Amino acid sequence: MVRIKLFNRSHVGFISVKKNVTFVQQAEVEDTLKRIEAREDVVGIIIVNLDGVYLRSTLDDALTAQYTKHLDRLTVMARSVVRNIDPEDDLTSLRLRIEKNDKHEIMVEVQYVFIIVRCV
Amino acid sequence: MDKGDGLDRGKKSKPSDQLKLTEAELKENITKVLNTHNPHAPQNIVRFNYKEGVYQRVSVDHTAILFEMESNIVYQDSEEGRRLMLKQAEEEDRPDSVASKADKKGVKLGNFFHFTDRATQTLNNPPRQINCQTAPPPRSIFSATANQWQIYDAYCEELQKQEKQKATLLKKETDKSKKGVLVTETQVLFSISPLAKETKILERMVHQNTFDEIAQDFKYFEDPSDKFRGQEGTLLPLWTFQHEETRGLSVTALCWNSKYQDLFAVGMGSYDFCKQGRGMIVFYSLKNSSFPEYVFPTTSGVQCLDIHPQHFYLTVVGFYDGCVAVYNLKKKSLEPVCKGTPKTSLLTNPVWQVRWQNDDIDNNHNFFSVSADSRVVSWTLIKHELISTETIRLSVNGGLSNVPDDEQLQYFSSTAGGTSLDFHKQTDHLFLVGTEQGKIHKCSIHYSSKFLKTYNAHNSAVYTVKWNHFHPRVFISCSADWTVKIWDDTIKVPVFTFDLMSAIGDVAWAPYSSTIFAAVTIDGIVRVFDLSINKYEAICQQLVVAKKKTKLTHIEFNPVHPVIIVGDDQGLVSSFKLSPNLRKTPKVRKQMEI
Repeated sequence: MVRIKLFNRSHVGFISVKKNVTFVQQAEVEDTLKRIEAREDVVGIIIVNLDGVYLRSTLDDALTAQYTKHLDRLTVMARSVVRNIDPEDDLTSLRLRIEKNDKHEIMVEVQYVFIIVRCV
Repeated sequence: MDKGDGLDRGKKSKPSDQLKLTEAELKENITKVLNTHNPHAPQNIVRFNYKEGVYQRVSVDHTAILFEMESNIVYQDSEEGRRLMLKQAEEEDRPDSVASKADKKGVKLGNFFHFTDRATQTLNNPPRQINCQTAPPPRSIFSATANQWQIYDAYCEELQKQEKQKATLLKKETDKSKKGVLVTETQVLFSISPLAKETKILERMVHQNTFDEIAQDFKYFEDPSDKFRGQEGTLLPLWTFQHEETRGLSVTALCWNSKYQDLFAVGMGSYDFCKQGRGMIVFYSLKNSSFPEYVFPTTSGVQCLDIHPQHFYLTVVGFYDGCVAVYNLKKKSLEPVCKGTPKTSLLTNPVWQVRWQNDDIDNNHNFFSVSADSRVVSWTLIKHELISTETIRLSVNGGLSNVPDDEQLQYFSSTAGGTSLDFHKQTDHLFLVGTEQGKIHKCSIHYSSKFLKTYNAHNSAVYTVKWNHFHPRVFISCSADWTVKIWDDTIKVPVFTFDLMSAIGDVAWAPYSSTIFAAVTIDGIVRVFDLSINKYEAICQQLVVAKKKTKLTHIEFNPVHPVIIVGDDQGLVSSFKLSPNLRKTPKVRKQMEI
């Protein structure tokens, strides 16, 4: 849950108008996520927030917890690398390929930390 | 004398446990020997000798020390003695030393008659310990890393704080009304809408993985067999673009975006007169072939569209019912920015071609459209409204004839519907119009009454006219009479004529060469011609559709990549990569040989 507090010194109080746009966007995002999920290659999607708590997942709990824990640390380190080289830069996404056995690929987007686990 | 102290002297008494000896034994002489053997010293101390590996007796010293005292006598002639003597001599020389004082008074020997030692001992106070213990200060263990970016972040925060302070200072100065502070709290439930961008990128990532080979082909594959094939080339199939909602519609228009060269627009509608219904405008990106980027459903079938070359987010669309609309991709809505309707509302005259033109003097966007009601109309976009001005009316006789508005018969007989329109690449005001009757008119925006030139091009409707991208005088036309003709605009007769054995859908010039063009036909074959190589035959003829009955309707070359897109009447858009033989740019020649 995210709370937004608005302070306003004038006598007119205002509430953010972005709510409507938010809902439309949300529908689109949901659609896109469903499409990605529906692909035969994709094993699962995990959405994690900045604190490392996973919000939504299509995999089972234990696996999700594992992925989240490890990938969170990895993204922190990767981000540290990128920003150390140029502080104005920032990490946007990460792709990991696992060659053995299953040939998975994990894709991580870093704004809200997305993880998709895909089988090649 | 006997003092009576209790001791019995003189009386001899035997203790009870005294040894009783005989007389003889008493007189026996017992010798006692004194030796230096210490009776208390142990005799049997052994120590283990590691060298020999046996226990060995240790000899013990038999000397018993009764008294020991350290002496402070130093031998006179030794080093230490001499030192001390020197020191003593020095001391004697000092004025306040005891010896010197003694000297003055005379040497006084101390003997124990008048030299006594007296000492007293003071009371030693018993020592006592007093301790005090304070409470330990609260401690916490703190660890942090200082990276380049953390330092940078800290500086940025500082900067922001300072700026805020400045801003509040300014506010305080200007803000006079000091009414109460209103706090409104809105609760936003968890929403994933900020993830829109990321989801898109992820979808493209996943898509790239799925179609990895195609992406690699698109970027890097050059057909090596072209060397052995002589002059001919091939088309390598890449992605196919299809959307479920476009079933039943055919591709009626294709256009690449000039700024984002992987984005293209597809107009969906129907060429069939009987099956007119809805339409669609779909934008695809080469990066995601499974789902379009933008979808705009329309009430009427789309017949043509054009993307503005400078303002890449503006798309103008012409409909079957004669309307035109401008869509703005930057706006989130599915509705067009503005819509224009034709003046003659009695008949539905499909708009066959729309083309953007440069902004006019007031920086308003404007475009031209040609429609089946035989008018070339110029539309100007002024503040979300479309204002149309008629540029030219196409008539059979080649000039503006006074056509009264109500007379429909005369309307039909003396005017010919326009089917295609193209503006000259270099000269803005010059354009070509192709008509249903098979004529091509070269006109100018400035002259609205007369055509500059008329070409009796074809026997039936001209489907497409296009100016060459490079050569200022050459244009190409294709028509329903199954021919493709290439013209020089100074000559009334076509320079080249190609008779393709089936009905032609569309023709397009290549943007990288002045001699290459491609044509699509309803038998599903794409033909690529290169006039500098072969003037009579296509250098590539390829069947590109799987199903036999699919008719190809449109073709467009990508402005940058060696890719063409082909639309067909099933609503499918296929993309192909041109093999190297098809991409030869001609050497620079001084004159174009015709």
